[in-house]
Amino acid sequence: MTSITETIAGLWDGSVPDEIDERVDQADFELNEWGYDDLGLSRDWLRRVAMISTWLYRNYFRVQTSGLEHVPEGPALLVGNHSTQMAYDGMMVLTALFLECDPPQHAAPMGAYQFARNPLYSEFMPRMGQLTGTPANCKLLLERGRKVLVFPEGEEGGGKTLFNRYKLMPFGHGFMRIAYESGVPVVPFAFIGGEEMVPSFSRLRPLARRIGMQYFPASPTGFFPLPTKCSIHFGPPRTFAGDPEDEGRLGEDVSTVANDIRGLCSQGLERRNGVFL
Amino acid sequence: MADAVVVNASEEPDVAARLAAASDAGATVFVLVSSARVYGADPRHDMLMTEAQPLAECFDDPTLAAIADADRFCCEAAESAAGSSDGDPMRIVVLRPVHVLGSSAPEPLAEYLAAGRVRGRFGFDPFMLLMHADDLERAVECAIDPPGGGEPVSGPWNVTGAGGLPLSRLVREAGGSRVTGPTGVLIDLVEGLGIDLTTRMNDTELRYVLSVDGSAFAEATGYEPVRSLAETVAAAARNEGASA
Repeated sequence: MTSITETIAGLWDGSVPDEIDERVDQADFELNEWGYDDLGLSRDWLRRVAMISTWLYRNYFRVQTSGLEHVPEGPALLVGNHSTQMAYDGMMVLTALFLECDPPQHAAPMGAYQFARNPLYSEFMPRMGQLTGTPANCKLLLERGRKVLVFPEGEEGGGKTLFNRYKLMPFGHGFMRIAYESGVPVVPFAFIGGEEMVPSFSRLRPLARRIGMQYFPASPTGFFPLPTKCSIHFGPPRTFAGDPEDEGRLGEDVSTVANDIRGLCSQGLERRNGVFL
Repeated sequence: MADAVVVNASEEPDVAARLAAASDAGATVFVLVSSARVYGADPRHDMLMTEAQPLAECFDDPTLAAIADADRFCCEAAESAAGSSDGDPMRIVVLRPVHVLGSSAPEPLAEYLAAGRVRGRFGFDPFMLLMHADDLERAVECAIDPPGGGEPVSGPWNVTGAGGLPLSRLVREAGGSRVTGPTGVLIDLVEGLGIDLTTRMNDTELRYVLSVDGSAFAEATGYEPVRSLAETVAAAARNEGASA
């Protein structure tokens, strides 16, 4: 008996469009003869998921992306506002880089270690290049020339309720320490449309804790996303240097990035015509 | 060639006695072949564990616990020897190889693969780093006498091979099949039907990645694997050395 994901995979392997295959082949991963890199990323899984996320990007969420000229070809920290309860925002940002950049770019998301304990998630996400969000893992990816997708609000942002939409939750400082140490640029971005995608009215923490989660959205749609019209806005990159132990300086620089993202969010909200159109 | 004693921690019940005996016999190098499994499989770990990171504190598997104890003992001895004022103390090297295939020594993953029909965990498919037994032999040689006149090494070193594969793919390449299910439900049901899925791979190793960074040893000694990943996987397919 094969693994559950391998079984599911066989169902749609033959229907991946040529466009996706070609773009996956242009990515500069070092893969072994079975199509895996040494951290567990899988070429086959990238193309399978890219097929789904491309359909979501173009047809369901109808994502419009601006400011891609600010995304460098080499390593970078892509830092943005978090929403959507289920990381649809991360998926759409990765898809934007995959579809809209030439050559296609790949960014690695970082996940909370609690997620790695969950069945299926644990099996599936490493195949997409996701690692547990430790500082060493982030540095490892940057050293290899990858971009890393960072949501410094963490689960507080991802699971926020509709009443707090487009309000940034407090940022963690970890990404800035890594920016200091690695010297890679920090590229801010705003994701618009995610806050209304899975409208949650409560985080239901007691229930969530019982099932090993930080929050469980009280949403009329469950985890299913509504077809909101989404847009992604990348801003100019900044490079930071400083002492990772200097909390005051860290706080100031983190605030600078948060203000950049806040500004991009405001611009994106002003430009949109409505939540669904 | 240095006068060396090589001990495999999975085969030697009293490593302390072997270490003392080697010292008394005037050996110049003592190499303990431990295992990268001593770090423990844990989703909180960094993707590539380095030698600076601590070993797991407890293990369900008594064999693995004994290997970890031997590893700690030899690391402490290596540290004492390095700080010793004696003229020429015995050099102690602890190698922590990833899963070795094709070895005659007890290797849980090789035994797991040799069993044919094995248990997995639903929704988990850890990426397993592999190395060929020939590469481990090469690593031991490099630990004893670094090629090209490199500086002799001591203390703990991670050792890796040509790469890795997800467990499900590895089982398939080895010609086996994997029964996946939540422990206590499907597995118990299958075993209740008289199909033995017992394995020395512990439950956390069937769920979480255990991956190490072997670059420090490669840089310090010039070691590099000579067997390809395909050859390593083929060793599992042929059940080379597996005692199960």
